Amino acid sequence: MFKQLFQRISAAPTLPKTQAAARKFDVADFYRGPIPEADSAPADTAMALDEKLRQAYFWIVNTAILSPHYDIEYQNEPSPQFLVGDKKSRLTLPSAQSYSSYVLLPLLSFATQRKCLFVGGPGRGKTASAILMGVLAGYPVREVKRAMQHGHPQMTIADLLGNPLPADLMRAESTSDIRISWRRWLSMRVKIIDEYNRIPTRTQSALLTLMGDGYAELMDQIFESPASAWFLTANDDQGGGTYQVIDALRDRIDVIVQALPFNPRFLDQLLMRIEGNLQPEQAVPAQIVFTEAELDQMQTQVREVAIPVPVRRRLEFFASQFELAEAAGEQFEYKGKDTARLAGTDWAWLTAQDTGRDRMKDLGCQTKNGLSVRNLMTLLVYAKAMAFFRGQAEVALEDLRQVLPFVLNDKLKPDLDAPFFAVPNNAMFKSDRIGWLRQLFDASCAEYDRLDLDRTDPVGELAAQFAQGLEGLGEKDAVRRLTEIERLVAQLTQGGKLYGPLHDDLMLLKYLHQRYRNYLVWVRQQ
Amino acid sequence: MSAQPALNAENALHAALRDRRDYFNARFESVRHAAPRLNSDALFDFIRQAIAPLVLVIEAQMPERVPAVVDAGFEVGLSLVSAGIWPSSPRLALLKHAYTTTFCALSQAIALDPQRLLPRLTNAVLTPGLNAELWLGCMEGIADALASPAQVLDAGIVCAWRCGLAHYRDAALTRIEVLPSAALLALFAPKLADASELKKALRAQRWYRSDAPLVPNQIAARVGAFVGLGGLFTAPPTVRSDGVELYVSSANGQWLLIADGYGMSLHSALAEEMTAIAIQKTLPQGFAKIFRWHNPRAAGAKLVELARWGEITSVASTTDTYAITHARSYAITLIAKPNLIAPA
Repeated sequence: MFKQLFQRISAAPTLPKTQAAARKFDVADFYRGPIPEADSAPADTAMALDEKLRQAYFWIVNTAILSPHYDIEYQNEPSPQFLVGDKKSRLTLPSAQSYSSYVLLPLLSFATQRKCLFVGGPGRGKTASAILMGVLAGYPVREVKRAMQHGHPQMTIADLLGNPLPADLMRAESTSDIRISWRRWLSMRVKIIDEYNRIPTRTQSALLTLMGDGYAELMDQIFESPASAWFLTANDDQGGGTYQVIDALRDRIDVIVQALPFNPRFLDQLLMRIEGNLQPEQAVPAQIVFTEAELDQMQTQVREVAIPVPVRRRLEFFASQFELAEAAGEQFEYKGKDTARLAGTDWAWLTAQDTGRDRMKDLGCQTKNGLSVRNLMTLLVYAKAMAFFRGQAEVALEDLRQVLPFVLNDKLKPDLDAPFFAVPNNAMFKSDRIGWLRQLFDASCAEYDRLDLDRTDPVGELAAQFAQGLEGLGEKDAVRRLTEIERLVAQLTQGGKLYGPLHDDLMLLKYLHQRYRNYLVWVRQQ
Repeated sequence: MSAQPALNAENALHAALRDRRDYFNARFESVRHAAPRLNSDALFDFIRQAIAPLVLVIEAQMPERVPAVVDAGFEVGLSLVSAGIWPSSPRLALLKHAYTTTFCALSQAIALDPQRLLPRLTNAVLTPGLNAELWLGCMEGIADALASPAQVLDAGIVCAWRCGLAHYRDAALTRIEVLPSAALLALFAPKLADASELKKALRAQRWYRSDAPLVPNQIAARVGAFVGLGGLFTAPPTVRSDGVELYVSSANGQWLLIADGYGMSLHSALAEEMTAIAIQKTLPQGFAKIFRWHNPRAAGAKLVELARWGEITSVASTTDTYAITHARSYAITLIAKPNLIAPA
């Protein structure tokens, strides 16, 4: 009975932009007024996909989610801030349109067909949110619910993927003759795994192939799954659950969002939902349901969002902070935390060797690992998706800053014994990974600004020079560039201390040196 | 109206409300949750006075559409009552007239798409600046020629222009092509027989009116007024133009002026839109030749008329209009350019 109320979506643009002095009289204004028009208005015109995604977001936030938290804060002017409590916790009232990560990140995963994990205690709406994503992809609620895979300790690979046809089992002379009755959910564009940490380890491996490589294999038969958005839920992602989740599977998850607690101030909304017997997933407006073609088109449009060089450079600088472990290897290339991890080196011993650097200042000392290529690719995709969602043609630094903690949560492992966490004001970051990652990025950007790398980047200049190509470069010029590289290496290594960004700069210079050296050999042979 | 149809309508209305009683009750409660001023008595009053007469007509024409009309009408009622428009808007009488007369005349189209037409037409009646009484009369006058919901909406825009909302001129001129000729002639030129000539004249001449043709040099309109007399200006205004648009400024703001043979409207403008355009006080050559107002020895009736508002403070010209302001007047004098006036 409340269905129509809940099926309303905003008739106004969700992200209105000021249009300077543009005066177009819209005849539709004549029919606009205090009486809202039920549902038909948006059907008049095809909505842009970013606007449709925003409409979906606002419908979920305003209608389906009972107490949204605006934890992704944007500012376009100074925002009022208040310090509260003994810990002087900062409450910000954002001056620009801000978002709820619990809704936005899953939607961005939906838009980019990536993998999102909902974590949080029981009864906080993780599964309901995942079902909403399935409905947004155009599947009937009943089908989404039937297709949802519920993790349980007895779950077999056949439960997950399908069964061989019994008749074929009897007749077949080889496994290739056995046809498989694949489970329907494998072909869906939205895949939901409820309580994935209750799936037995062996079945997790089959799931890994499907999630990671997009196909399922059973008795020599292959099922190619279409590009899909994955939504997984777990009550506890820190090793709890019936089975330990295998690392490779955890690593395939692109973002992790946490269900934040319910604000009892919204109890009236809960009451209305009970009295109205309303289930939001049953009342998703048709205007915000995406077709398969729209999903494909949206992915293309997200990829087309540009990442400006200054934003990319800050990400490069940030990513350079973490991998270096000076004592882990003798050769420069092997001075990484991964070298120590692969060797099973004792972490405490490794950090104890690190005596030269300022362990408070060096951001790399706060983590036990570095960033993988997959992490960085995911970060770039989500930054683009964020900008797309906000109707921007290129990624702003703030877009990157906002998605970064959710992408790197569970990827960048904190070293809780690091001096940083021993500072009383930083103790809360031991449990607040999102806050910790955000401050990590902020600290990296502050260092980037201090070094004035936007204006002074000799390594970047040499790389840009090389990127122009070697064609037509004479022997003299090649020698001159080699000399420049050697001079720069000498200059950079004068300080004595080795930090992550410096390590990566030196590795780049070594690469350039090698390329010019090989080229020089070739030129001399001509 | 006979008693029997009224009884039927009441039955149809009652049946529609009864069939979805739970839904309507839930809608009422959910809207009251957000708008505590929602009053059930006022809603019942709206249903009795506005929805019932409309249902009466639709019940006779398309009984199967009654539930949809009641649904849409109920939603409109919720919005009107929760916003306090029903029963306390100054336009209440016009709303009642719209539902009991105009919308009944348009019932065939409304029955086909009540979810779209009822909110839109109700909003139209409430449009600020619209002479709603005249607009309702225009719509009633052409209702018989309008069969589809789209035609009704198009006609609504054309009538809005006809009733003085000059900024809908361009939109209306595109819609006159799809309106039935009978409706068009009824609206603009009841004495003419050929709609194509009418369309041509409407498009070509901003100041064209078949019922009151302009003669060259005649003042087409005097627009704007002192704020104390219902106008917008706190001081005598000045005009300027970039050749396309007319901009007005007074001590209390800036506006874009749109005017034609059927009315005028002023819209807030940004100062930046007009600061680059200089104020002219010199009359255009053609204008001076026609009026010779600046030459006392050639003073005629026109001079006397213009001179009585004091010295000219600004002059602006677009492709079809001269605009003049005066030192002692809060109104802007608009004069149609002679070459654009159809021969009388």
